[in-house]
Amino acid sequence: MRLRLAIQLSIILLLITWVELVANELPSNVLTSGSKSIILSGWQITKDKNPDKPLPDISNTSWKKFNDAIDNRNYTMGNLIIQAKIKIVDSLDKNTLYSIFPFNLVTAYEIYWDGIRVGRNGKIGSSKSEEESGDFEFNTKLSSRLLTRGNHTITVRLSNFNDYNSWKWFYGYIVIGKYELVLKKTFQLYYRSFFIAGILFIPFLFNLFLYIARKQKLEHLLFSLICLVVILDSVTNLIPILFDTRTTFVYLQYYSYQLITLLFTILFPAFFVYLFSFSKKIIWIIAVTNILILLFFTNVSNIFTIMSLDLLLISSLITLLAIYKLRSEGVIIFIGILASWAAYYFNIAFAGFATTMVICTSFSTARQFARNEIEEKEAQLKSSRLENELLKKNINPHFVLNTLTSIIVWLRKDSASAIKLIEALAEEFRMINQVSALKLIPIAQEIELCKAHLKIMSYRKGADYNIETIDLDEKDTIPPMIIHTLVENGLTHGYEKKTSGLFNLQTIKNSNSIKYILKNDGDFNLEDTKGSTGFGAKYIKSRLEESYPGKWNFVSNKAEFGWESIIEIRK
Amino acid sequence: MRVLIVEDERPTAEDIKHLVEQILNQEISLIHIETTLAGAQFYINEKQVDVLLLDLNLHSKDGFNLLKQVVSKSFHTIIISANINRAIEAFEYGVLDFIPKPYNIERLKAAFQRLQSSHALDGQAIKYLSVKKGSEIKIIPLEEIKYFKSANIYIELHLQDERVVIYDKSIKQLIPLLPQNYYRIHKSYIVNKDNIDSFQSLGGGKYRVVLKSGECLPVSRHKINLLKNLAV
Repeated sequence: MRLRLAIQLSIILLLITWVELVANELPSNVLTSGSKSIILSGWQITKDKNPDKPLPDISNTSWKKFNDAIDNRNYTMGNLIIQAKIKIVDSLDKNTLYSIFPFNLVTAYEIYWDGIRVGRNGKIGSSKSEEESGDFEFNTKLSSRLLTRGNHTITVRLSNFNDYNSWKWFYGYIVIGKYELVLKKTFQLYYRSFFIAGILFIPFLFNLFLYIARKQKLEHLLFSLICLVVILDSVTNLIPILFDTRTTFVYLQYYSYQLITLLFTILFPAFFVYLFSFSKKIIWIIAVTNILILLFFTNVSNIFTIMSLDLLLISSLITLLAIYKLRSEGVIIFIGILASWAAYYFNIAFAGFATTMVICTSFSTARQFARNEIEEKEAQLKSSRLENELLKKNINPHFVLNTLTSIIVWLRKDSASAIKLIEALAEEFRMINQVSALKLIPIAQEIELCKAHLKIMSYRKGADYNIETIDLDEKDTIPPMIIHTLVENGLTHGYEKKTSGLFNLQTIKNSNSIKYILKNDGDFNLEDTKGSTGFGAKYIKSRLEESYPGKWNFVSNKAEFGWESIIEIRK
Repeated sequence: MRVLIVEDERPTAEDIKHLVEQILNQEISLIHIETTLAGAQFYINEKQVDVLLLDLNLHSKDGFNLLKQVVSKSFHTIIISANINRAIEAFEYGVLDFIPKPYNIERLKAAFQRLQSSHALDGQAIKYLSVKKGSEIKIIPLEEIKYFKSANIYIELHLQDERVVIYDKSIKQLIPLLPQNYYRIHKSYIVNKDNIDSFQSLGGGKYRVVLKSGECLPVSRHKINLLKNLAV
């Protein structure tokens, strides 16, 4: 019974558990006027040697007890008869309609009440071509004449020539009870399935669209797939009432559940890995582990138990790791996992897990989404602040006015130089305009910017400043104006008394990092030079962090020859 | 006239020198350029200067400390800077003029003319006087001063709290810096109109001013009409 419930994943089991709980407490196969419904048990089985003849009387010796000890292989295919006893202990209400509901029996069968045929689903045959499968949804109403007080026998004569490599008895069970009530319960399953599919269809589409719109966010796709799997699960339950479905559909259902199980055990841990930003390699390990477990450690009867246990264990481990590493949402997901363990304890592992996880992850995805939104806004804000800083630093009124003054001075003295100064200023402004909104620019352009600036300052100071490069790879990119900032700082602090200056940028590349070393030959005294802590340095550090988060290094120090700044970017 | 130009961009400094030479012509006895803060400080302490032309921003160093120091000196300071947002502050500390960059010869000429003016223009007057006391510079708000008395090439500042402080400029140099309500009532005295209590005749065409604090100051003969017009 436990196994069967585990197999009946999703809401079927909720329903049956409930039916069981409300059924009266009397021993099984005892029907009273107070019974709503009972699942028939105490079955015995035998082979049907003459399926084309009327139901024979079968001697007690040929019956086999129908329990776990029975050799399944002998009773999987062919023509079979099963029988159970039922006792009606008081007078049933004649106006209440009673009915027998076989669930998941294959392929065709006839139902007998005390040897009288009361129902037929499909057509029994002695070969595959002869038998005709019955309706998936089937029940047979019992005339009140038959439901007399005392002992009765229910016999089911089956034929099954479909070899599906699995055994139908794990699925099949037969309920007897008040027609309207059982039907109501059956339809409750459908309503719930519709409800779940409908509800999850929205997050499924939403997350799918989110994934398409934000391609790098794989967790949206994973969550969308999880929703899809739960929807598929519900839709599988719904097919019999949407389409004309045969009893053989039970096999399709079986494989569908198996696939859903595997997807569940992989998708959920993968989603957690993405949610908690763990290494993606873990997903492959989990996927391989789960497939191996599925192939080598499970069989028809224990697959759902083992896989749901496996899923719970893996999810618990990931979530505990997340809590240990103080990842956000770890606690919320862990509460969901605890609820899932409780669900597992009450034999509704899969449905419980699906439900609690969908709730928890929806909640945490929403939170994370909101948080990402804030982070993105902050990054944007930071980016525009840096752009603003760049412009303010280089096109500030002070710089412009001083340069204009210098232009007038040169016009009075030597108009050709004035023109060159104007050209250099125009060149610098033009380039600043090009690069100001970018996060990375070609290093060649950065050097051009430095050259334009040095030219302007050479005219302004009546000096001769230059920059040269060693091993420059023009294909390299760099955040805008960081070398420029260093050159500018060097010029401001190191060349008070000098009328010539040389800057030198060296590039050193190796397999895992790239290093830029900028040297100059200025005179520095340490008191008024802040090096790697000043305002310019703050700009450089912000830019590096923006483009290479956590993968950069910046030092700036006085050296024997002047000043040396080193920017290192790790791959 | 001895002129010192402090400007960190040499071509600009030379241009200013050239223009100043055109303006002052024969009046110049010496004109010198310094391009660093340290050089300027050294020169001021060692040499005699009549007018200082100063850029406030030298190699990104704040020239305001230098400014507080130089306004306590006996010479006039004219700022030539692109940093116009500090102009008002510079005036309050006692600079004669503030020429924004880019400058021109007319603007420079006007600045040198102000050396002879009788008081500061609206909004360009001092609010504080920088006074040297030993090696440190003390800032005295103008309203703490009762009256100014000339003492040779210095001025005695007579303060509300009865103290007397020496200020290192001549009375002729101070006049162009003071607001319009300060009057030179005598060759040796400057007083704020608001501090005057009454104006008394001593007979024989002699007059005196009585301050609110009770002190009496002499009035020059040719200033009598001025004071009568003020109707104090």
